[in-house]
Parts: sequence; structure tokens; C-alpha cells
Amino acid sequence: MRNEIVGAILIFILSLYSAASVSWYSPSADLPAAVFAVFPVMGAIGVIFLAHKKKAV
Amino acid sequence: MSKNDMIGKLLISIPFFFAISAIIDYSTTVWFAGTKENLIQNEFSPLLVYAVRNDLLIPYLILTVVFYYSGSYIALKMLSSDEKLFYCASAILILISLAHTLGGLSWYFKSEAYSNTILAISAISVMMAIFLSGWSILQKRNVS
Repeated sequence: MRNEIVGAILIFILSLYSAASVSWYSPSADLPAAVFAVFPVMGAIGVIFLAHKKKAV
Repeated sequence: MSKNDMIGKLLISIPFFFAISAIIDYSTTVWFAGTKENLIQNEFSPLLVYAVRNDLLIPYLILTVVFYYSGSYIALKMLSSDEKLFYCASAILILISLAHTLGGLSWYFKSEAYSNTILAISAISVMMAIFLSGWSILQKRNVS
């Protein structure tokens, strides 16, 4: 099971790196930075929900 | 085709597609941006802007491609024993590859909605990665 955790963390690092390295034309995007933060928060809420559902917390 | 065969093929093809998507992204960006000044002025990626500003584009591209291929291969290999985690991680990597491929073309379209879509895809992949990490840790807690 330890391998799976390391693999998942590696995927997380790759996704963070790619979020900073994906190249796109930015002047035409008008979404505020706060919108960008909503998605990771939703991911964290999903984990908390899953933890409660599995009674792991 | 058995499940092991399927996982074996995905283990090779997804990291390959992931690495190629970065090459497509940067080559189309450089192609459509035209000049160095235009790229630095209008590019979102802070890493790419830094690399272009310091004339490090080629080493940066090589390092990114090597990191993408090796990182995604090792991660998928580690997750291959758990089918659910493996397919979820594959979906994340395909989503990031899609963001890279479409991101390069944003320099051609220069559309507001298009650029916002790239931003959303990128953010959704981070959300899914957080969920995947939490899920794997919860599974470990439940097993032990």
C-alpha cells in the first residue's frame, strides 16, 4: 500500500508542476485567481467527505 | 485483451502521450507567438516565461519532457497494483496532456472562452490529484 501513496503523491506533484508549466495565451483569460483556488478546495472537501463516509476520521 | 495487458499498454502509452503533449504545447506556443517579446508579454506559464527570458528554452523543454515521462511512468507503475487508483491516475495524466495540447493552440485562437477552458482543465486536474492522494491514504488507513 505504501507504493500507492508514493505514486499518488507523485501524480499530485506532476499536476502541480503542469499547472505552472501549461502554456496558454493569458491576456484573453479573465477568470480571477480565486476561481483557480476553488478546484483544489473542492478536491480537499471530497477527501473529507470520503473519510467521513468510510468512518476513517 | 486481459486487464494486465491493458494496464501494460497504458503504462507505456500514457507517459509517452504526456511527454509529447509538452513538446506540442511549447512548439506551437513558440511558433504562433512569433517574437520573444510577444511571448514574454502574453504568456501565462511563469516557468516558460522565465526560461524564455533567460534563453533556457531548450534545456527547460528537455528537462520537462524527461520529468514528465519518468515521473508519470514511475507513478503509474506504483499504482498498477490497484486498478481503481491506476485508472484514476491515468485520467488525470490524460487531462493534463489535453491541457498542454490545447494550451499551445490558445496562441492561435486567442479567445477568452478558450483560454478560460485551459485554466479550468488545469485546475480540475489538480483537484483530482488531491482527491487521489487522499483516497490512497484513506485506503492505507483502512487496510492497517
